[in-house]
Amino acid sequence: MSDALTHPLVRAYLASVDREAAVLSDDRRRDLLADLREHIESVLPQGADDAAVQQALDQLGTPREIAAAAIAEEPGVTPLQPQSSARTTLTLGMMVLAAPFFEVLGIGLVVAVLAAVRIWRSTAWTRRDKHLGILCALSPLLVIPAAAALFVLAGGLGPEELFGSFLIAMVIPLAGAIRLGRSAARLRPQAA
Amino acid sequence: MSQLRKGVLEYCVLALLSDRPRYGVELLEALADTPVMATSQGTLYPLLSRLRRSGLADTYLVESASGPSRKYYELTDQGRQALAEFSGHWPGFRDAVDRFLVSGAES
Repeated sequence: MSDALTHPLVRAYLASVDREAAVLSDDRRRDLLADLREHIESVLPQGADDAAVQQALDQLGTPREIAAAAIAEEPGVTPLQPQSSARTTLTLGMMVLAAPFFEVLGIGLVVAVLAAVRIWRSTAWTRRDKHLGILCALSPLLVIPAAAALFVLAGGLGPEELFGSFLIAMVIPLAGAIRLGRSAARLRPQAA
Repeated sequence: MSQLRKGVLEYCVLALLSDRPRYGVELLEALADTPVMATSQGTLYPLLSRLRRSGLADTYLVESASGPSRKYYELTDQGRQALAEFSGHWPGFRDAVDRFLVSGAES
């Protein structure tokens, strides 16, 4: 491997192509990145300076442009579309806040399922993000009983412990919401 | 213009491969000699990848003494056939567009 590929500008560039092409299958994305790596290695001499690296990357095109060309070659793959931040916030808020209400008259379950449906129907996330988001949204179904069972084993389940179980159940949805929030924010034009 | 370029670019690539196999950077250099066909370099690779997957071109790696191994593209029989078909249609197509443009300008 030549040092061109370890240059910080090149690494950032390739990481950005990888992100922009996230809707493509793993195989296709790997091929694309391998082609770009080979290109960069063949046009940049060993020890090229920052200006030369930047020039080579500029000639290659923006990561978004290249990803769009690769996505356009794939029938059936539609590019991700940004959605408004209000919409994202509502979806992810529902996902996180469902947990404390989970076993109160089933409200939490309904909210979590609605959040899962909103995630599934959104155009802003890749399939992988969607699967992750839906698992996180529905995770309280398992986490609350599990946490409550642990409290019972540890000596008793009072109102405080039950409340504790709900709080614990928020952790996974919160982690998922942070990740999905970041991918949605990256799609918005001002983040380009 | 970009749609038109996109449509004909793959045949220009097939034509460049018809005399000998070439690797990516070599193809880009040949295209850059003709500014109207020049695109952002990186967008050529998805096109090359599709030519390979649809059986119009094959690839093989050649170790290079000075740098990374190079992926060469060569035309398959199917690629030659697609190029021949396009070459057959193109003059009629080009003349027809010219006729419309000229008669449009005169009327």
